[in-house]
Amino acid sequence: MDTIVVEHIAKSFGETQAVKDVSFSVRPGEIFGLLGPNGSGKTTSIRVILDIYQPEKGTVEILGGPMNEEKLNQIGYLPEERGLYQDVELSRNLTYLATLKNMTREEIDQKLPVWLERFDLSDHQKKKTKELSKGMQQKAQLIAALIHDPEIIIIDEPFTALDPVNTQLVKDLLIDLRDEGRTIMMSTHQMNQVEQLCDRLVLIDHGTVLLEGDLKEIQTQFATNQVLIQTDSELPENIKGVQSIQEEGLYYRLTPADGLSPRVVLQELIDQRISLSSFEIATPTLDEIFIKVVSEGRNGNEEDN
Amino acid sequence: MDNLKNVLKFEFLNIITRRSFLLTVILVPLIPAVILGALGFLNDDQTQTIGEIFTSEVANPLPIGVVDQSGIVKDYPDWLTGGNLVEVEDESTARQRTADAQLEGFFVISPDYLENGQVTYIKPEINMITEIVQQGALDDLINYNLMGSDQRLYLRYQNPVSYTYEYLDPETADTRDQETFQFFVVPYAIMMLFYIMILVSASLMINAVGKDKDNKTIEILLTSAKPMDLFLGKLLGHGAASLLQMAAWGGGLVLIMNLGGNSVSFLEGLQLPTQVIALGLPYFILGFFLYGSLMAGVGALAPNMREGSQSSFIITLPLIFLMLMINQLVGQPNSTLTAFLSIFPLTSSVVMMTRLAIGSVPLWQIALSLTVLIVTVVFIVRGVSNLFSSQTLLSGEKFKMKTFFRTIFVGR
Repeated sequence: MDTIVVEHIAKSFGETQAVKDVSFSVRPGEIFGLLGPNGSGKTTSIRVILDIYQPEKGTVEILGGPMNEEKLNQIGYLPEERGLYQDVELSRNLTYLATLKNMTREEIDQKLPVWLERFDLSDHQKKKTKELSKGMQQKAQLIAALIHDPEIIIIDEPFTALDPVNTQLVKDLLIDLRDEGRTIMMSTHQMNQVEQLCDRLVLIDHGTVLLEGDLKEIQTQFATNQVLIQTDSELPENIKGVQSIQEEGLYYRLTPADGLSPRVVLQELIDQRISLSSFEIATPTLDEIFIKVVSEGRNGNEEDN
Repeated sequence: MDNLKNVLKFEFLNIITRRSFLLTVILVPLIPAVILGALGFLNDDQTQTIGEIFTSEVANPLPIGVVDQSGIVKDYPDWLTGGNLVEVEDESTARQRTADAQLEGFFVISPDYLENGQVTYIKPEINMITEIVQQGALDDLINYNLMGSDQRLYLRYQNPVSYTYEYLDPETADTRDQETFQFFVVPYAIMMLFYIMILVSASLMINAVGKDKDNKTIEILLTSAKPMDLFLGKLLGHGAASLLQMAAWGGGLVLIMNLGGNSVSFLEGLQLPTQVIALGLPYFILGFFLYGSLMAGVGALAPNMREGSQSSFIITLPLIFLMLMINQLVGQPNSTLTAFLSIFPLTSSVVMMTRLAIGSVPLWQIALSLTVLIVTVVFIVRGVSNLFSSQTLLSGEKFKMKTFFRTIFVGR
């Protein structure tokens, strides 16, 4: 049973159709990436999943059925627009948000100090939120999303305002939570983080799904048969079976001639006694896939219009 | 229900622990209570008026000489002058004694006083506050002597008539004692108290909702609590804090009256009518729920606190109208207009309390007023709850009065 199943949801605001037709599913114990350019419908889709907005069409199933109060309390949410009361001290802020997630005073007294310690905020718990740095507020917001031990974690841009040390702290935390069996849905523009963390993803634009699937499979699907090599030798101008050679820093990108596989190119390099320190199939980065898919999608829409 | 309780508790504690709230609750009744308490301490024989206490503080304790060239002032009774006015033979002696700091100054009553009323006051420095009191003392002394030093006649002249009033129909009439000024103070004070309390408490509801938008906590809250829980939790939390404030201010008012009654004749005998005490709580709660709900609705529809505050003016118009009419309402508590305003739900919580502070109000009018107010509160709370939808709270669109009233009265 998938943890989250979104089927053909649509939502509009007045004349604006924020989400036209979005479907995807998130499996238990995975980190799932919800990607898309600004204004693509990501936040609206998240709000529909969280039952904040009612969709005009389509359905959302959480843990095998429609959303209810009990399931809502099993979700931890970090919204894109961070929200803590600026004039209220940190511990009171977090205590209030935890009580709204049905936590008892005893549970909060037990868990809050642990989380504050983990995020190095223990010494700041009596400060007002506005007295904390942006990075500290970001970590506090994560505590608010996680303190009630949720089954499902939905996080929007979790790495904003974090320095490299804290970014790594949050990444390790997300991996730990996944390993514990929690389901995580993450929306971000930082494609390198998606590549490092996500198991599967969906890419949406203009309120429709452009791409969904396993990260590795998607990268393979978009891979050309180009190869990247590293060598100490001087490459000849022409290599049999290679259509073009491009130098990219320490690497050379070789494009095989039509119909030839990378294996043929490797054989040719060996035959020519070129010493290779690395040989790999050039996998497209998620950034490249993102730009390609979104551009093609938009061009397609323009042509349709 | 749990989240309603959680929101209520957070909002209540958040308000009452705010320094500005504590200062307002404590200092507003404390400052006048301390002043009146101090006056009571200074005036332990309880014979002075408030004016006398203040002026005696600034007046010079030295006596003032009276050089009577007209020959009309023959007696200087202590019960009248308190030893502050003393006879001096002639102007040069008075000048010398003033220069020697034995007198503060001296009056010279002209020989033609009966023709021209001329009196010259000669002193080293002129202070208009003390002059008024001292000249009043000379007026009293001359009046007394003009009446042939007859104490009984003089006192009757000072207080010539003691009126007794009887009402044609005491049940519906304005039964205030028309002779005493202080009984007019209570209705004005009650009207101002209810006006300020309802307006200030209700206006805080805009901030209560607006702060969730400005702090961007609204989206987080909506994933935990139902919009209706947020609305009612905030309304009840702020209502509870306002009640606490009212209790403190009401207690302060009673304290001031007690201290004031003991120390200052101006406040002596002043007391809150029992019907105001009995009906004050329900009228305040209902008035707060009515205006607080409307203000919360403005906060829900406005994109931020600033725009919410600007847009709330129209909601407060009925209360502002009452302030413009305050003299007419207090002066004619049983007129048709005042009776109507004490039943009309947007004004009844202030006007009915004012009428009750003045005198008795027919029972059927109180019952009708409360019934209309309760029905309106239920209708408005339900109407405003239409504005507490996730879509409205997160929309960020500009506030439109038409949308506001349409959503309340017609629905989404």
